[in-house]
Amino acid sequence: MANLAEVVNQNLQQDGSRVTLKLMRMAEEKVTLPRTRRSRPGDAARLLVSVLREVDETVLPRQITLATDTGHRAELTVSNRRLKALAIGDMPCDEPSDPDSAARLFAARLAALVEGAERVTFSYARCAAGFSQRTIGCSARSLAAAAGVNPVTTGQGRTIEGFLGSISAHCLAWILTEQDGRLRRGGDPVRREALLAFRDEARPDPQARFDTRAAKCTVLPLPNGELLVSARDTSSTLQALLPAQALPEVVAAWQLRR
Amino acid sequence: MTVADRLDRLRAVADGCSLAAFGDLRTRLMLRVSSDHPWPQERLDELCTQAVRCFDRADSSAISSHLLGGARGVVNEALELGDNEIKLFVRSDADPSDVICCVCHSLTDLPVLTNAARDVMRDI
Repeated sequence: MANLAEVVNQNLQQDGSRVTLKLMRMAEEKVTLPRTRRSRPGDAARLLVSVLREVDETVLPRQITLATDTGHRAELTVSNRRLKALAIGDMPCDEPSDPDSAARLFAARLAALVEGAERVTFSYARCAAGFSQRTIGCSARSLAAAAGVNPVTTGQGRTIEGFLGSISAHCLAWILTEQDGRLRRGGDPVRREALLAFRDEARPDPQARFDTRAAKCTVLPLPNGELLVSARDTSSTLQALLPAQALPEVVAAWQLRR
Repeated sequence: MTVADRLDRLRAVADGCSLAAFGDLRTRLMLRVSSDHPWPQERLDELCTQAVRCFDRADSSAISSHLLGGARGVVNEALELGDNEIKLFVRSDADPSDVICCVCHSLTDLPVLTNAARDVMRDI
């Protein structure tokens, strides 16, 4: 995270005070950020998925207090997208010996906790100073597998190939570059050449630090009424042009790709 | 009306909008956020970085020279698709480092959010 004081100083010294003025204006406004989050209502499986999503989205060490509308409470210690410890009421907080045991134990306890509930509330706090990163814990994906619910967010295991298969009928042109450099293409030859130029100009962002392995899909609505779609996963990259009306198909295909 | 008030209003135009944020692309800072739950700072940083990456691509010369055939036009909107959510980035026409980010869960929210984000951008 950028240091605010450094940014202010840098901008004062460099190109004037534009950003500094923005920062000063924001600093003058008092804002109270929410400290809790309520899930959407749902059955036990859906609530369990919302708990796993909290785990999957938490990178820095956090103490998450989960309260159900049936009156149960649990303390989750989460760090680096892993559930490190789970304490439910007076139940002793076990320390599983390996990630698989942790996933089975935590998944069973969480499933029992949300059984019969229709809504859960999350509260967040920083972990105590003595928090140990060495605790084994388990990922949200392992928890999902142990609990028998669908995985949460990462999109790993799904393919660009499947995505292309779903949208190719709508594409004006597309190019797919595989990891070994092999190129496949389809559609209008002029647009394909343009997509090649775009692909060659795009470079990975050196400052990107998160989710570098996760599949990504960006859609740019162009002024000429076409959509420029760029998607990648660990095995291939795809660039495609589609008419703007095909946006619903693109979104659905990305979210359901296999 | 403060920027925070405007972002709260923006988020309220679509039920499925869980976050609206105003940021600076050049410094990669989210300056003000309205959300239905606290977003960790690292996720806000990531969101801003995603916006930067989107508009870096949007500004590539390949788009103007090849895809638009030299025609004038700036791409000031971008979408990043997730498995469960859609991130909408709207860049200011007047100041290309100002950006508004919205996170929503449904495609049907996009038109109203895009228009509302443009209005907020003009007012900020």
